Formats: sequence, structure tokens, C-alpha cells
Amino acid sequence: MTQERKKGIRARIVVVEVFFFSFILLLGANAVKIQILDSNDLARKAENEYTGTVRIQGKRGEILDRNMNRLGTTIDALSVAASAKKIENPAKDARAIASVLKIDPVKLRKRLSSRRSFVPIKRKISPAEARELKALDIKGLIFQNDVIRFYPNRTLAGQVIGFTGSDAKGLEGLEYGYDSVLQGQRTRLTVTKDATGRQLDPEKRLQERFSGGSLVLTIDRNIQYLSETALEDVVSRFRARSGMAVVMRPKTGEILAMALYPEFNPNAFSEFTRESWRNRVVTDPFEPGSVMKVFVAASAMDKGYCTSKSIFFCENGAYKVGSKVIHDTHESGWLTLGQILKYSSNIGMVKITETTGKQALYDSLTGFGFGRKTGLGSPGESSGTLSSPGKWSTIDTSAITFGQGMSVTALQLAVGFSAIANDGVLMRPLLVQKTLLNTGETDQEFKPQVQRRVISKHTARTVRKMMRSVVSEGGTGFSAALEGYSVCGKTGTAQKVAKGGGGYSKYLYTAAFAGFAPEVNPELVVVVVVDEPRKSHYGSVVAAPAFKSILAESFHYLNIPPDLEQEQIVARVSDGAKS
Amino acid sequence: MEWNADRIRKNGVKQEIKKIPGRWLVILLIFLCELFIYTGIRVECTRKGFQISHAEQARKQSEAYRKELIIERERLGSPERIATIARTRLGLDMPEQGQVVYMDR
Repeated sequence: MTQERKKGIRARIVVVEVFFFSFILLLGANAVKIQILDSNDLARKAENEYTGTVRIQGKRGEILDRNMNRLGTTIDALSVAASAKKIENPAKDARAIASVLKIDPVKLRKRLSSRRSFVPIKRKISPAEARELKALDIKGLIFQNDVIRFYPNRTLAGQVIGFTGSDAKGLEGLEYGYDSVLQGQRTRLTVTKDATGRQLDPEKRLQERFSGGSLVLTIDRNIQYLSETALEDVVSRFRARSGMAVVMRPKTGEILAMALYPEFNPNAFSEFTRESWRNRVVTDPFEPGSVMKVFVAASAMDKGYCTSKSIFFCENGAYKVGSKVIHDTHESGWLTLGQILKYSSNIGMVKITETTGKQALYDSLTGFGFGRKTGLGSPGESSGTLSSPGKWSTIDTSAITFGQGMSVTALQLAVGFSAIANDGVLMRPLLVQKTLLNTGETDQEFKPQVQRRVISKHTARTVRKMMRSVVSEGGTGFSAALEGYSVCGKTGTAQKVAKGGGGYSKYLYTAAFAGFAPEVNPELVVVVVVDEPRKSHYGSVVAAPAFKSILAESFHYLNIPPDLEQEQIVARVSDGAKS
Repeated sequence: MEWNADRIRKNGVKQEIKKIPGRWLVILLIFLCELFIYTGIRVECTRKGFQISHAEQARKQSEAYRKELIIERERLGSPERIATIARTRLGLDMPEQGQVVYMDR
């Protein structure tokens, strides 16, 4: 090999070496750039390829009755939309879709012709509608997961539970009052996606994970049903405007039923008037009539102004107070306090208040919780109206003794009667027993809470005896008497203020009955209020039979045997081993 | 002497030639085994992946069905429905006082 040829080869080798060296240097530099300098940016870009941010709205929690039956729950549904660009034949497809969803085809066609990439069609469609739409096999239809708030018992306790809007926010009742507990968490999450862009952690599971808490009520759905049925019966029988009933345990303040009629179905709240959405038991005060006499008599005895045997002259049925004359339904002369209650004498009550004075009357009524909110926690609660005694004229004071010129809610009446049934101790009413976390564990528990003692135990027992006489033969509330049980109660018939003002109407009344049983150890307090009954307006005729029906059926259901001596069938559960 | 040395060298080369295919064969076999095992594992992994996916799908369906059944049970067990069936289909009515049996508490 010549020297020149050798040189040439060396030169070529050097060139190749330089080339490879440069190439390797370049690769190295690029590796440093990728691995060190641009690593954060590139990692973020890579992450964006397989992750995405989604907005999660956790499912709303459930509303359960005291036996864990679902009164309100959330179920999965689908919403349908369309990518208008992909719709091949808007006119034909709009007709087909509209016939399944029962919507206006003309409007839908216009929207599908817009060529927008997302046209919402209908939210919360039924599973059958979804199946039919999928069967149409229309290109461009988009199905999205959605949820529906569902009330499986339909109208049962509809006004108490309330309802939610389309954005799953509570709008009425407990749904509104406890929205912060029930509402699922709203959050943004980074989720992992697969190559086709689908989320690896499905949205439904995330919705479950961030779901809201649940409410366990004190309501018993069976007693609620019994009360609603009795109310429906009385309202339709007497062609009344409406009715309400409360069933309460006096020892704990737990509300077992809060019934209203006309009914309301929260599954289709828009089909009902706004009037029927309200839980009128807590929101609507009314003039209660003679049921208030019990509280006046109780406080007069408790403060020592009189005893159950004190006698008052009842003016033979007519008594002039100021410029007005007060009348009794039954003309009476001298009556004991017990008889005043038994025959529901207005004049007798006025005479008692003339002894006690208006300040004592005011103190006793506020003591029983009238004129104040009960603190139930249900939205829109009214405190009723009870003006200060300084504003009362003589006739006002007289009217208040028999439940006119003031207003109370049905709940306040139930709480007041519970205090008498509970040996004079006023309990805070309970509608929500506890709240649960989305894991099912107890978050907050609401225990029975004593508010105050309003009358002595002795007075409470004496008043119960007097109330017992009201439901005995000859008393105004005899139609509430329940065979085998010692029922205590009081009727109430109140004139309503005439529509358009100008004093009380001669035709519009509120009929009420409130009471409890058994006398010695009261288990249930029941209040029934019927608004504007037409065939008869007396509490004894209209409300007392409904009270009796609710009490009897609730006692049967709760296995509370009669307390009076009578033949009864008692079954014992044998454990087998001891028999 | 030279002839012997040449023969010994030739035998050594022959032995090496004989040794080399055996070693390579073993390596090849190991490699093939590894390939088969790897392929087998991959196939099994994919199969298990599909099974898991099916099971997950079945679980989701069962979960959704369970929820539907719970709601259905609530609806079917509503007092209104039971009372209607008792009255209309079974001819029952609310009991009178003397017809009630109390359980001893």
C-alpha cells in the first residue's frame, strides 16, 4: 500500500470518527436537554395525554324514616344531547327522537339544524326512553350520566321532606333545611384516561365517593300513612279546605307523623300549586279556639289561683265584656274548673282570667311555647302571634282565653300538650334523629332535649284528669273516646277572620282536637286541625273522630295495649327452650 | 514431532467445533423457553385482564341492579300500596278494638 493511500484511509477514518463523535455528542446533548432541562415540561405534557380534569358533583344523601325506610333517595339516570354536526337528517331524526321523548319535534328540528357540537335534548330520561333512543341508532346522539331525586313513597310526608331543583339543591322542606348535610361534595379531580380518552375511574364511582350525608328522621312512615289517610277521610267527608295532623311522643318530643292534606307529590312538584308545597304544620299559624283553655286552666291551677274544684259562675250562657257579649254553646250556671273544661265554657275561662290577670295569662302561654318558634329545624317555621299583654284590651284578653285573637301552629299545640302529658316538662320537638356520613356512620345525633318545666307534676296530672272528663260521656270530646284506653283531650272550634277583613266570618271555621292517651302514662300526643270544614264546623264532630282513628291505629301498630280493664288478647313470644 | 503437534491442534479445533453448537443450542433452548414462557404469561395476563374487566362490568351491573331492587322494594313496601292491596285484593280492613292481638312486652 502506498503512503498516499494510507493517508487517504486515515483521513477518512478521522472524518468518520468526527462524524460519529459529533453525532454521539449531539445525542448526549439532546438527552441532557430531555432528561434534565425539559423534564418538567415533558412530564406535564405526557401527563396531559393520559389524565384529565373532571368536575364531580357527589350524589345527594338519602332521607330515611326512623326504621331506615327510604323517604327520599337519588337514582341514576341518563340525559340525552346531540352533536348537531353529526346528525345526518335533522328533520327525520328530530321526528323520531321527539316521538320517543314526547317533546315538540319542530323545536327539536330547529335545534338539530343549528350544526352546534352540543345540543341538550332532554335531562333525566327514563330507562325505557333510553333503550328506545339507543335502538333508533341515530349517529350524533350523546348519552350522559345524570341523577334523579326520587321519593319512593310518592305523596307520603311530601311537604315534610320537600324537594330539590334540577341542580340537586333543596328547595323546600327538609331537603332545603338540611341541604348542607344532604348535598354531595362539588370538586374538580384529575382522573386517569385510557388511550381512547375514557376515564379509568368511572364518574359514577366518584359520585358515590363524594356523596352527601343522610338524614334519619323520627317520622314513622306507617304512622305517617295512618295519619294522612285519616286526614284525607275527614277533609273529603266534611268538604274542608285542608287538614293537618301531628303525632308526637311526649316523653322524648319525637315527631312520629306530620300529615297534611291535600297531599303533595315531590316527584312531580311542578304539577302542584306553591301553596301545597309548604309544611303548614310549622309554617301556617291559625286561631286555635278552645284547645287553648287547657293551658289557661293549667297555669291558673299551677300558680295557685284556683283548684280543680274551684267554682265559677258562668252567667247562664251570656256575659258582657266591655262592649261585647261572650256566649257559651251550653248555658251553664256554677261550674267547677273541671266542668268548665268538660263543657268548654268560654265564660268560665274569662272568669278564671279575671282572677289571674293578663300578665299571668301571657306568662303561662309563653311558658308553654306559644309566640315562639319551637326550634324544630324545619324551614319557614312560624312563631305564631301572641302580642305583649300591654297591647291587650279587655276583650282581647277574654278572647285569648278561648283561643281567639292569637295564633299558633299545629306543632306548637302538639308541643304544649306534650308538656302536660309529660308531667309538666316541655320537650324540644325532634324531627331529625341523626345525620349519617356517606360511609353510613353516625355524624350527629340529636337526643331528646328538655326545654323547661312549665307546670308542676301534680298540676299536670290534675289537668290530665280534667281532660279525661272532656272525652268521657257528656263531655264535648266524647267522639274521641277510644274503647279500652283512657283518652285525654280537648276540642277546639275557632271562627276565622273574614276574607277581606271586617271581623270574624260566620261561615269559616277551624275545627281542632288535641289530646293524648293513656292518661297515666301517655304514649302519644295527637293534634288534628281541619281548616274550613263545611258540613259541620265543631271540633268535636269534625276533628275528634280523626283523632280517634289516628290514635287507635297507631296504638295497634305500636303494640300499645289498652290501659282500662277489658278483655284483650295478649300473645306471648315463646323462646322454645323454657316452654 | 511437527506432524504430532499439527494433529493435536486439529483435534482441539474439532473438539471446539463440537463444543460450540451444544452450548449455543442450550442458549437457544433457554431463549426459546423464555420466549414461550413470556408469550404464555402475556397471553395469560391479557386473558386475566379481560376476565377482570368482565367481572368488573358484572359487578357494576349487579350494583346498579341492587340499587334498582332497593328502590323497587321501597316502592312495593310503601304503606299506601300494601293498604290498597289488603283492601282491594284481600278484602281486609282495619281491625276493630276487640280484634287486635297484643304481643306481651
